[in-house]
Amino acid sequence: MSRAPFSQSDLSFAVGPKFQTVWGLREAAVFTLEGVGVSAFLGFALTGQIVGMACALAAVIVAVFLLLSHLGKPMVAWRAIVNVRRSWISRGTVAIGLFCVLGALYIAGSTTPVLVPVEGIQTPLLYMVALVGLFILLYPGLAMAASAGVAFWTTPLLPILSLLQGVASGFFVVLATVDSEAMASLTSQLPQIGFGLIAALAIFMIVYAVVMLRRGGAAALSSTYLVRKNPLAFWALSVGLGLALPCIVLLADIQWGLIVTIAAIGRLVGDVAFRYTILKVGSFESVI
Amino acid sequence: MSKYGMVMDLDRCIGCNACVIACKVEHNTPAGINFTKILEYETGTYPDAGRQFLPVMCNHCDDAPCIDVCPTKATYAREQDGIVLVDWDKCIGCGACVLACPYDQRFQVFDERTMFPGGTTDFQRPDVQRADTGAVAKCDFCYHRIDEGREPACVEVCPTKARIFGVTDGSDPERSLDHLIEQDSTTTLLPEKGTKPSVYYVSRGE
Repeated sequence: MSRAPFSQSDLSFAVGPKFQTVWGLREAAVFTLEGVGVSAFLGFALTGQIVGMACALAAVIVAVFLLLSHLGKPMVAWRAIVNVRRSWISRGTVAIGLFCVLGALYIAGSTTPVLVPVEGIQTPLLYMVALVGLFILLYPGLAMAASAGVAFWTTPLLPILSLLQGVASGFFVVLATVDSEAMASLTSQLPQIGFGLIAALAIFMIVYAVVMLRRGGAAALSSTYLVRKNPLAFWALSVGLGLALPCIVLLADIQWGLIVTIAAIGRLVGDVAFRYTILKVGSFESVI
Repeated sequence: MSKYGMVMDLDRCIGCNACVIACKVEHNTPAGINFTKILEYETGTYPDAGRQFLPVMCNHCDDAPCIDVCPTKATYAREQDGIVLVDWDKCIGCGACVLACPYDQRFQVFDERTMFPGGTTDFQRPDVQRADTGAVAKCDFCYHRIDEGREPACVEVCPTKARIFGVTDGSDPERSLDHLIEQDSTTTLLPEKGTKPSVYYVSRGE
């Protein structure tokens, strides 16, 4: 049976704000993988976990392939690097490529020094990885903030939120996978750092929602939808699993491996859910 | 070299959708994609209620946000007249321009179906190049017609002359839109976005 050539809904030229449908769950997963991959790589590098670094780098590479699958014409995706001067997507694409190369070099230098024979290069290399990584953590927010059509995204708060989401998720992934001795050798303030990250994230999420609500128009509509119309994605997953659960684990000073792992998974789910909700509620301004 | 623009006279628009159909025929756009639309809304309250029609399309902005965000430079403004176009060979279909357009006038082509199953009808242009699947398409001001010295299809077909096409830089006094644009009753859509649209709207409340 052939499909109808068009549906009636195609012809309803609706008046009023319209929610965007271009970016969704896949893009949210890409942004999360990039953020977690980068921050976890740095965490594993600081604790000397080579397998962890490799896994984190793999997460970033998976994000790249997932990103390719979202493109309308993935076969010409290489063109995405040609407008570095003006496009955040171009800059992000270049940065991710650079991160993968530098990260692979750092891992190679850590495992087989003969592959990177320049003496004392590892530390500057890690600084470069960190610098590029910082940009990648900010990049989803920067790319979204450049989307002038969606008022809810056009704010400098979004890159900061993106950074905090990525760092917090990466922190819990490292916490759940690295043995406590290696972590303790780094700092004794781990619970405080984790709690500080979650608290900062929660504060920025509240500030973001309030600022957008006060902006009015489509931004206010999106903010209202974020808080009132997304009980599962926002409240249960993003806030409940992504913020409250890791917070409880840290405050209760629970150090059982399984519980911390569950908290890390909760943080990852919360990360994807938050980014997805932000994308989903983004709406175009009404022209009337 | 001329800077093209369009004026929509809202007092004349009767919402017949002839422009929508003419555009569809001219560009043979896929099902569900219309480069121009007529939005319809109610004004006033009973017993002084009325209907108002608002034709919308790509505004071919002077400061088009869609150009800046394009990672491949597929979206560009034609040098000679400022018409904003998409090079489908360069477009990778990332959707950034769709999200950057405040007017929601860019469309990603995911559906190859034509309006009529089996291809074009006698009333459609079979020779027109359609956007690649996955690429982003939009109103191109019918630049192929402009280059032949004709008006865009939507302008030509409008029975009430609600769409007026011309130049906005004074380069051609006979086709200048300046006298319409300079009226107090003329505005653009979402002027607060700072995009400097080339499509203007005039309504004297007649």
